[in-house]
Amino acid sequence: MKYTKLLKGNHALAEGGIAAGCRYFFGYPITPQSEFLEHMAEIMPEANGEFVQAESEVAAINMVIGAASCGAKVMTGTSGPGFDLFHEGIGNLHAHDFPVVIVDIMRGGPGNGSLHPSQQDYDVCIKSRGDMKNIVLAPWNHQDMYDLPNLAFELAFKYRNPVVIMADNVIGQSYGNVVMDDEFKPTEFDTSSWAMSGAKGRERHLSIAHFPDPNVANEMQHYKQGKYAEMAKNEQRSESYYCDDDPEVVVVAYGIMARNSYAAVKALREQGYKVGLFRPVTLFPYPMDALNEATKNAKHVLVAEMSAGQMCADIKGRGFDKDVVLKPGFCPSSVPGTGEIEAWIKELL
Amino acid sequence: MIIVDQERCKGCSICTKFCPKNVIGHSGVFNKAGYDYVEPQNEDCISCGICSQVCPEGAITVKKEDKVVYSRPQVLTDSAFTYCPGCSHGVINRIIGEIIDEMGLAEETIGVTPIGCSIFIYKNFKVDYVEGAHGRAPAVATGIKRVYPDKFVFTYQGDGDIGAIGLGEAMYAAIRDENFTIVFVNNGNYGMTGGQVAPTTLLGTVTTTTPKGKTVHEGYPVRICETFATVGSDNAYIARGAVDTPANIRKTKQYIKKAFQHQLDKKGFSMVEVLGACPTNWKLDPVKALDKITDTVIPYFPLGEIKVGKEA
Repeated sequence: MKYTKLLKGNHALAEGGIAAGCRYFFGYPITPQSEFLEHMAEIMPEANGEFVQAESEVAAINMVIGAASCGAKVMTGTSGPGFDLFHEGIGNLHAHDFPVVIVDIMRGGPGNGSLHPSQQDYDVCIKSRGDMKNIVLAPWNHQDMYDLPNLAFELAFKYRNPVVIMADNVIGQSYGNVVMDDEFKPTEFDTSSWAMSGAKGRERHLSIAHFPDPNVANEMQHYKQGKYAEMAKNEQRSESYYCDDDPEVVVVAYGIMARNSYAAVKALREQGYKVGLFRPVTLFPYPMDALNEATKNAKHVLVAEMSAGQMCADIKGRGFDKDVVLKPGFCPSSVPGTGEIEAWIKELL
Repeated sequence: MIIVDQERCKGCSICTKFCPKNVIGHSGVFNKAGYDYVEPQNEDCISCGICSQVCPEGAITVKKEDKVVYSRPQVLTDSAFTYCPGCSHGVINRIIGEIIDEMGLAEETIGVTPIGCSIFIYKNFKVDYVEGAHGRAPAVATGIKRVYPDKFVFTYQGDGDIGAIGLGEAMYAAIRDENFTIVFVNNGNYGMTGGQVAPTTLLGTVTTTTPKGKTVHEGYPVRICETFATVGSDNAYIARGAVDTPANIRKTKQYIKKAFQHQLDKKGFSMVEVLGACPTNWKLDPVKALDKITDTVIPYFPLGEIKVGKEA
């Protein structure tokens, strides 16, 4: 049965994780993701799953590796400083080709940083050492927080790759309506060809995370880049709003910046301006095809993100050949409001 | 009588030290890997099996009449150990293999490797194996055990892995009373990276990063077992053995077997430290390296069962 519930974004993530079949969670407290951890602690035992509050993010991500090695659906979550500590484990997840879902509720950097909203984790969420890439999903509302964990597991198991749900603290810590479905049946994935379970009646499963043989190392690198090319072909996801009539200005934004930009674009449309919004859902693989389509006749492209241009540089690096205006050009300590975004757009009209 | 696998033998001479009848000697012939392998020199063998027990390569089969007294455990793969000649890892791998055979655990086992020389255990066992990052094996094992509480899970680590970079992960496994077993080898240095000072290096020892000898500024040698015994469940099983003599090897095997049984009985955390030799980085021949364990290392790291709870 479908029903609507008012949920905090971080709670919606936990509910969505359980609905997606996640039965193992290993995490460590950090603001602004702690409510995700806390809610998992509450609802995981009810789902007959295992919840462990680890001694550090380093331990948490390595516990995740252990559960993932058994083919289990496993999640963890953190914020920027914890994500820095996750990187060792994420590298090993790539070396092993283990599927996991990781949540990053962003806060401002650098170092221990601030508790201000931020979108500065774009690069660190996508990239892992050794040319590895995480699939990254960017929720923009509470329904996404509930729905994306299932998509994340689908992609994680399909490609045997870490998937990061990268949200900002505004969505994580605010409340919103979520439509839930208590009859939803998540996919069960067959992991019997690789997962650990004891070598009973079969050859042993061995998963090592180092590559001493140069031929194996080369093969692995080609396999990985081939996998990313497949993702780019099959998994680009995005939404375009008011982009069907060749708008003069197209705003490109994700997460909370997409929400405020949507309100600005809608207000300007009501005033008769031809403006549109392009919202990537997958930040990796980046939805370049849809971006090119949405902006093909635009006079101006405005990238609105709360960082010094990480997404902007990414799309440029992927060959986006239109001139781009970046706003606000740095990460301010509060989210730019609708009026501010309207003003940026009007400067271009 | 004994049968030496000439290609496995690395000529470390440890068997020649302990043979009570002076049966074994070097052949003077070099095998494909370039080692002067050993062979029986006379007919005095009493089939006591000591040579096989101390052999770091699992290269010696002992027969009494037609019956095999000691041989290479079934759970071991056919590949030769890649440890240096005389390295204690080989003996410890072999006794773990014997226990897995004796307890019938091969099909139920999931092992977790660390980083360091001890990583090579994954090559040697026909069981499921996951590689952890340096120091993180106990966290990985925690994740596995939460998914499969009924499988047999163990980590095999070195002293740098467990005592420095992975101290937190290992100690928290004890604090949470995780129901898996840690076997860790204390050879007092970082072997794989070239013999740097380790948490367990004794004061005064010259290493590649303490060229004038270890001082308190590098840290006092850590007694991991005693430290871990102060945390976690009162019923944990924690013991320290050594592989310097046939008697200590037999005792160490008993400790590891008890630790494994502790896990199978779902009694919680178990850990066995094994004092071993690193002849290469100690710059000693394999026999003298074992003497150093006896004379210098054991006095600082006393052997025995350190924590055996009432229910353990």
